[in-house]
Amino acid sequence: MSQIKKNPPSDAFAPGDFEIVGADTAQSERFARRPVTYWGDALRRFRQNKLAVAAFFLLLLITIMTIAVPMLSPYDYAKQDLKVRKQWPSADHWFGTDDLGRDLFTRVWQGGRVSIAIGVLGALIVAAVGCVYGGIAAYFGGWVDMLMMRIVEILSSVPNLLVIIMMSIILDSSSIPTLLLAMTITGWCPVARLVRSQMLQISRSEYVMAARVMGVPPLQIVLRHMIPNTLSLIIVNITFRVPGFIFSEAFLSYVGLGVQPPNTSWGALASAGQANLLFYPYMMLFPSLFIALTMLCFTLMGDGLRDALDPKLRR
Amino acid sequence: MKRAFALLLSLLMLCSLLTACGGGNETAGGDEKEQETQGSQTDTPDNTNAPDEVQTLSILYSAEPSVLDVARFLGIADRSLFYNVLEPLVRIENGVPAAAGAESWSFSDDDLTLTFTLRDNCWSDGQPVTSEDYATALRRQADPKNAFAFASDYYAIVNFEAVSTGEMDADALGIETPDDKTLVLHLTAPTPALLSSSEFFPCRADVAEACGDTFGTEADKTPCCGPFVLTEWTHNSALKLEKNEKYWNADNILLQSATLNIIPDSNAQLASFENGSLDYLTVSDADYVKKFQGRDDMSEMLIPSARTQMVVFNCKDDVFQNAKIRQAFSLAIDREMLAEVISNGTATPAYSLIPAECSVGSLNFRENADEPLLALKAQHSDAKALLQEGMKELGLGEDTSKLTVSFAWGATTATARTYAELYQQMWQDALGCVVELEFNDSSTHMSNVNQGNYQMAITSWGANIEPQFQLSRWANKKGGQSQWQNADYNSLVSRANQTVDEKERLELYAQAEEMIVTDAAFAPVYFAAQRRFYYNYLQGLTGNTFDTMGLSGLYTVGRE
Amino acid sequence: MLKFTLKRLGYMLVVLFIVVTITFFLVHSIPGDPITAMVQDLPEETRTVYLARYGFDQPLGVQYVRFIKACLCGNLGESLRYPGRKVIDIVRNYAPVSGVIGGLSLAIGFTIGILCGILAALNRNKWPDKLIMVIAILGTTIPTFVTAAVLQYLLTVTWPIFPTTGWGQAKHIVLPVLCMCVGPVATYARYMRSSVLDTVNQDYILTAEAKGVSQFRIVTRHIFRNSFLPCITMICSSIAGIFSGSFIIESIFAIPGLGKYFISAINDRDYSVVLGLNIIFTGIYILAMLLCDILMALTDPRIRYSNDR
Repeated sequence: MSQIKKNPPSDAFAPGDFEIVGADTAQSERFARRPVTYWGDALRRFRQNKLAVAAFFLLLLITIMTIAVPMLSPYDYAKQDLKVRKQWPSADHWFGTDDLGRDLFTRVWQGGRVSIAIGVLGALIVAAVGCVYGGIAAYFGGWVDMLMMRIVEILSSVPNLLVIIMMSIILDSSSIPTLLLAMTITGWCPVARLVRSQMLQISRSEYVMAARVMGVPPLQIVLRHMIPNTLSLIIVNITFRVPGFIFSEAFLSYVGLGVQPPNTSWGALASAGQANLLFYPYMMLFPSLFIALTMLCFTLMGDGLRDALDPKLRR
Repeated sequence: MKRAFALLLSLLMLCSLLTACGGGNETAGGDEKEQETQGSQTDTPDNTNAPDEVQTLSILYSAEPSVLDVARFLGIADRSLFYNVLEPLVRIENGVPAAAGAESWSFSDDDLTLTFTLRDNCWSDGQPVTSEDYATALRRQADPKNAFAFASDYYAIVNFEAVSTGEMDADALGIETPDDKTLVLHLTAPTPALLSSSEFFPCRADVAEACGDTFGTEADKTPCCGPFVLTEWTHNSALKLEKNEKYWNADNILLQSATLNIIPDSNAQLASFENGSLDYLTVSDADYVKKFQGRDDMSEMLIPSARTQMVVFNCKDDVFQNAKIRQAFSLAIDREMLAEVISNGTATPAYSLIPAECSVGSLNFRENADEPLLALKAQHSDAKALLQEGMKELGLGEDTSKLTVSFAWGATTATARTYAELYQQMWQDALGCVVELEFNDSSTHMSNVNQGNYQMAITSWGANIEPQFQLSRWANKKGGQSQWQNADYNSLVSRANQTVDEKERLELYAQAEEMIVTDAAFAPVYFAAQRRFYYNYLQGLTGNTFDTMGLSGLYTVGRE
Repeated sequence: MLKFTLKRLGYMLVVLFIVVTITFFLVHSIPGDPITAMVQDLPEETRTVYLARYGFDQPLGVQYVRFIKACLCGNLGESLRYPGRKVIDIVRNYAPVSGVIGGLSLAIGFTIGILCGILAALNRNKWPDKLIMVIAILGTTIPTFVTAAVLQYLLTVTWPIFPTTGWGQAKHIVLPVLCMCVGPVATYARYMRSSVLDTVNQDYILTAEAKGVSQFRIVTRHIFRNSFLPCITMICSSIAGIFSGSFIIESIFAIPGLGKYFISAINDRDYSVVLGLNIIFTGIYILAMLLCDILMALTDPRIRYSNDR
């Protein structure tokens, strides 16, 4: 770019005052700052949402606590001490003790491990299976798509609760993996539908059509357009689904089909505490509080992510 | 709510219902009230404790009855309702058989024929109750088409077993009805405990035929001839009983109506009792006990439930086939601690199978027979050493920490888990082995246990008055749930069952009990009991475990 | 439209048949049988008689064929746990109970939720929005068994306003409905809020504003109508769930509804009831989905167009 000197004083310019510096045509298209990528933009918008950021850090804190507390705590979450049964929160036992004298502070964080693991893993499994299934259906189209979607329809017509309960009884739900299997066996259906319809929608959209016309190879289209555009949807979906899994596990614990002792979960702790509700409300309070808090964080974070990732709301 | 906990509570409740009334026997807390009750019932009531004008009760009922048909019912919930709406030939009152539907009965000299003489009683529609009604019930119970679950209770009757398995025609049944008021039963062998262990209910042939499959499924399809009539039945919610004016003893029944509420959630049960929607309730929670003990308008009584909580060992299992290992696991149980923690101090530690309430004829069993586990315990002070011996015999080495056994529970609730962990830790501390817990819902658990698909399992067995009921269970071909087969034991029990002399019978039962408990086919843990709270206006409650008087003795005094 | 409906109906029957087949084999693969579940001390010969009586001694394939035949004749069988009760009668008697509670709480929850959602969206980021959203999120995050237990104690013991448990009178309905409508209120409020926000940003709203249409009219005529549409899908699936009832609420308040019946039927291995209820529930679900499709097609011309094409 050319430089222009400031207005000279009274006397006129002489040609010698000017100097040819040339024009850098190569750099002329360059932006003043680095181009904003989709993810960078999303991150910026996510950061602006203070509530979502706070939720994210709170979740991070909860996760760290669930890992650290059971390791560092002087109490073992499964160790019973009948001398200190049903004690209210104190300096020794921050959240009190349960009916067998186990330290609730340690148990709540240990339960958090299981609950969060079930929530996150459940959502991830559902998302992964749903993506692959929905992606295949959308990619091949035709009778493959037709058949695959009919299967989804049939699976999602079986009442969900029935499937979960029967699977846990049949699989003898003594471990977390079987529990996860029972919960996800039909849970991926809505994700598959969602992914398929999103993929179809994108593949019919103008910019994909334009890319095709311009001769971009299919793999490139899938990598550049289909996946990023679906990914945002899936990420949002995962964050919204995590609380659902935590909640289902709590329900299963209430019915008696949740995680098996000595392991525990927030749901199991809360339903154990429900029996002592009147006299030892803290037994139910802490686990329910953490269920609520975690779900709240995931919801807020999900809201934030959706606003950040959804191009429609970009304004 | 927690299903199994509710189930447990309801089981307890159930027993309390079974024993709801009658007079006399001493139980903690109930004793004093008892005297007063009897006084007011027989004497002219004075003004201070005259029964109320309106006599109505609202109580908890354990579960939805399956079907109110004596030949098809499946649960204990049904049986305790039969005591209220039907009139059995004989009821248990104060722990002994008393005349009810039958005015009197007599055994023949060879003890093989039992003749009942019936009382004049009417069905609520006015028809007289005849001996044919009682015979109908037995015939229907023996009919394989009804697949009656408790058919084996009546195997003492000639050909009952063969008829019920379809091998013989119904005509072959050893029952006779010479006239409307006489019923004769022919027995296969002398059965001195028959009347205290089997019930004989009447059944209306005409109604059963008219209703077909739906007989006993609704209030209007359930003919009644007991102290009460079933007037309303909202399935899974409540049953309503009203006094049967045509009942032979109607004059002595004060209660006019009762609502039996089916409430599965234990918190809801307690809340209902606390706000007066229920008149009495069995309470096990320590804090509620304390709370209700502080209430002036409530009283409590302790009722033994004649139920033995036990751990059964699978004697066909690779590890538990060894008697020393079984004994070690049995001796390692800290019964005092478990009774205290689990039952909140109501249960009694069990070192034997037969509860203290059982008797042989007029002799109390426990007073005349020592608890066999106490002797075993004195012999072997170190359970771990015993386990090591047993392991060596099986070639498993001496290191108990290498032994892993599983312990199965038939409930998946938080409470069940908590208790199971108690056992787990106790065994691991005492024996140094690894105990794995297995939780299944009760159906799966039962089917596993009955098929011998377990190592150790928790169960509980209710008792009848006579030890016969508890001991015969292990004397069949399979060897009971433990698959513990012992020919000596079997012959001992069957000899005892047919021995008419009380003293001799008791001696034989005691020997059998010692044999099975010492060999540790199972480990008795504690004898359950329940703490029942009731509002002070409620009169006539008794703690007689085995009584089958229904609600007929209850009434209220001074209820607002 | 008629052709579309008929085609869907025929297709529905196929789905129903497959679902029934799957559940039949699922149910029969659960260990245990109804009589072992009920009677602890069952002699082997009695069990044999019992199994023969109900045909459980036959191979599973034979049982399946017999079951399908009976279903085709409209006979869903008889309960095993409660002998003499026909499955169809169980549905007839208890579906209305679950229906009343579920329907009322859905209706109330839906109405309040939608109103709250609109209110929140129109006051975006102001205090009513924040208040409503906090309550809505809390409403979805506290487990029902916690809410129900607390409310039950407070309103029947501490302040004895309502009966603790029971069924039959109007007063018995209040508490369960109160506990059950918390969820729908929260869900619909959140859903409606984001739906309204989507609509508010549309160009036709801007046009209407520019034309000088009154705010009230914009809200009622444009925003409400358009943002209400996506909620139809949701309400259809909620309606399908009404009759299956709520296990937790029905247990805690001792209500004789289908939810409790269904779970205890699974626990009791009451095969015929589980299968029968499953057929009914699946049928209702598929019907509701069909209804939803038809409703959508009727209300949204764009969908109708794409279907016809």
